Amino acid sequence: MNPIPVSWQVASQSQGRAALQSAAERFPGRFETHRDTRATYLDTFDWRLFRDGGSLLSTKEGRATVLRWSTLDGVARFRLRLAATPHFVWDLPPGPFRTDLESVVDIRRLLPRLEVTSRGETLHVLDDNQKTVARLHFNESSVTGPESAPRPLELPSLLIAEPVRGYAEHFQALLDHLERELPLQPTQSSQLMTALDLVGQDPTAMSSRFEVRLAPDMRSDEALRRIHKTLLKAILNNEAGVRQDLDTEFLHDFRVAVRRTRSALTQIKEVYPPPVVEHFRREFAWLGQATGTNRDLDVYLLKMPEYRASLPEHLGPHLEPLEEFLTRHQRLEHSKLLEQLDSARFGRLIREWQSFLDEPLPEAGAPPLAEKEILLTASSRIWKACRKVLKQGLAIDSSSSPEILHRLRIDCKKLRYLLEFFRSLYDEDEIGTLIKALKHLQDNLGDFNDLEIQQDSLQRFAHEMFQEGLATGETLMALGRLVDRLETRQEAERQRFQREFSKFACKKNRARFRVLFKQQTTVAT
Amino acid sequence: MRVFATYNIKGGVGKTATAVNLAYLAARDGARTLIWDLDPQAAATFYFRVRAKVKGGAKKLLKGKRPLDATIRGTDFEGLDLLPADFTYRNLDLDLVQSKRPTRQLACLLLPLSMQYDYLFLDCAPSISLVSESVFVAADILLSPTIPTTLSLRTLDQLDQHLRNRGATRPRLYPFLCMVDRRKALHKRISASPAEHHPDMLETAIPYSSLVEQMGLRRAPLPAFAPSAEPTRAYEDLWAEIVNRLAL
Repeated sequence: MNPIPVSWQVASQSQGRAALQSAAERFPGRFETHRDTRATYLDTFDWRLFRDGGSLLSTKEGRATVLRWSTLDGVARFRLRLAATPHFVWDLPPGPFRTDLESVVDIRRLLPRLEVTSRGETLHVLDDNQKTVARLHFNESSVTGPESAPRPLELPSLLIAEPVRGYAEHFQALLDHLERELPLQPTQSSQLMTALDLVGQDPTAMSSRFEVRLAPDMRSDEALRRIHKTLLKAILNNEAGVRQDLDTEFLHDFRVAVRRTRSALTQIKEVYPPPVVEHFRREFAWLGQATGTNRDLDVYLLKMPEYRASLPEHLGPHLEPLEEFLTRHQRLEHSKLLEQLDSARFGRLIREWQSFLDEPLPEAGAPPLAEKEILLTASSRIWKACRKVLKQGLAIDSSSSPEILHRLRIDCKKLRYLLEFFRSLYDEDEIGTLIKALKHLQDNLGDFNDLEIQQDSLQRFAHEMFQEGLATGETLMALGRLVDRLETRQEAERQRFQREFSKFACKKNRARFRVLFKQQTTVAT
Repeated sequence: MRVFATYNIKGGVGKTATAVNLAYLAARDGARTLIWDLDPQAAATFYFRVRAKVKGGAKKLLKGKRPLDATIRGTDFEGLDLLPADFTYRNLDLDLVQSKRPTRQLACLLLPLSMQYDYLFLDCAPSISLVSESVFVAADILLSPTIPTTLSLRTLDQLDQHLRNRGATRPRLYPFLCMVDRRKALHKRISASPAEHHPDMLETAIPYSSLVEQMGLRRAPLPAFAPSAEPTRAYEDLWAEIVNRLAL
């Protein structure tokens, strides 16, 4: 086994210097001074790397940027030298670093999350050949977080002993010496963890997964407000990223939160006063529409690599005009979207919604189900939605029209939202199994619908590009081929439906639905 | 793990400088890199200031009695490790003959390293021997530094022919010109069109430079002590060309 680095937190600069000095008196060595080296921790908006147990540190070395990906306890995973700091995974050269990073951050932008400035000294412990056999670093650092701490905050100074492979004896001698000289215990926490604590950031709280804790005996209106507050927070959290168009997931998560808000408003009936439901349903529908075109174009741009790969090699390059067309329209739509976000209507919507959610719960004259226990309201809603899905799905056969599948897709989505809203009220394993089964069915229905829309859109794009004089014969041919491919894939999804639906609607799952939701409803009545 | 061997039948053509400098550049780019000094003269080991000593010598290493892992030394450069040479390597041929599968033994020894490193550079002693045969089995690519003279090109042809006779199991040969002295007419003529002299000859040529000789004085890879010197840029170009060719 090769030894690993050992760190100590040092109380003062003089204590750190003294440790270095005493090691230098005991071991032959060479000093090196570091002045104000800056390092940036990169991560996605929702801290995917951190939540995966890693950190990505970017430093400047000369004109190059060096990326270091380590585990949170400091074990190096990858290092890469690049000409510039990457923003996305596709800015990296192909290789294991990129592949592994992609599996964690996917299409999200790597944002500078924390900046650490360090200065200090290193003692290189040398042998007779002037070869470095161990290192002792003394580092004083400060951290700034762009969001939470505009002014640098001092991190605890660290003394770090670093081994060199194959020189374990020298390292041990250094450790023994330091143990004798320093009245200190080695520290365990990583620099990133300490820095996060200091600036008051908690990445574990930053998941884009919907999560809300409810109590079964809560009033229904209280529970629904709690759900809506969580969703409003998601909308507001993503707004800045949507405005700056940092990556496509901000708008996606923003829109999902809007859709869920609307779904909760309209599906959980007789809990809010009808005028409230009517007003906000209309306004959130408007917000959904106002952001739709931008999202569609984002999706097509994301699909470009897949489109290119699905065509014969000689046709791939002819899709370039499509990419230019989409990029141009995406920019246009994004500026329209900004106008909507700046509009009085959006400002008013958020203000009014926030103040409604903050109002005290009505004591008297509340709608019929407002004061009912949420477990009962939720169970009866889910049971109804589930029966609807099962009934519709069982009626589908190979002759059913795409519209019918489309309707089933919408109802599945409604059911899924309900299951997720009220997840915390039920047995986690049981409801988790149902959500997973539903998700597989939704993937199938979603792909079927998506492939249909893609064909229509590509044909529309081809038409528009032709009118704008952007489409050459080859480009039109490439688009035609693409539409063919999509049609074939859509047919395959259609074939898969029956199997996917049977899996979802199997006896065990139907029993689960009954036990979880129907029995609760019967108790109520 | 991709295995390179710097190899030439002739000595004194810059094999060790190539292995040391390219390994340094590979590690600088972020690749986990190991260099194995197979030459009993231990020049690469000397450049990295490591003691040329392997506990138990070549015999124990080849028999697998002492794992390679325990012999590896970290160099002064991040991401770059060294398997030092040992004077007993002069008997490597004899030791290989006595092993079960003389030409495959080396490749087998490397297997456990393949998860730890992205690149391995084998720095080989000159001559054609059982050791070089083992290297041909273990290596994916032979980097062959070639001085632009008639005799050196002839030796390159001999090597090429020798490799061809091995059939399908041969490593790919990447020759390149080195120690090019622009003041010499023959050097100038040959280096004007490298591919003419071998179809796989790399475009980049390493110029003759006293800085390369200073590696022995400084005991460090050239890019580490002369980062913007002309021969450093040549090694950088050479490494970029090799990486590009590998990606094709």
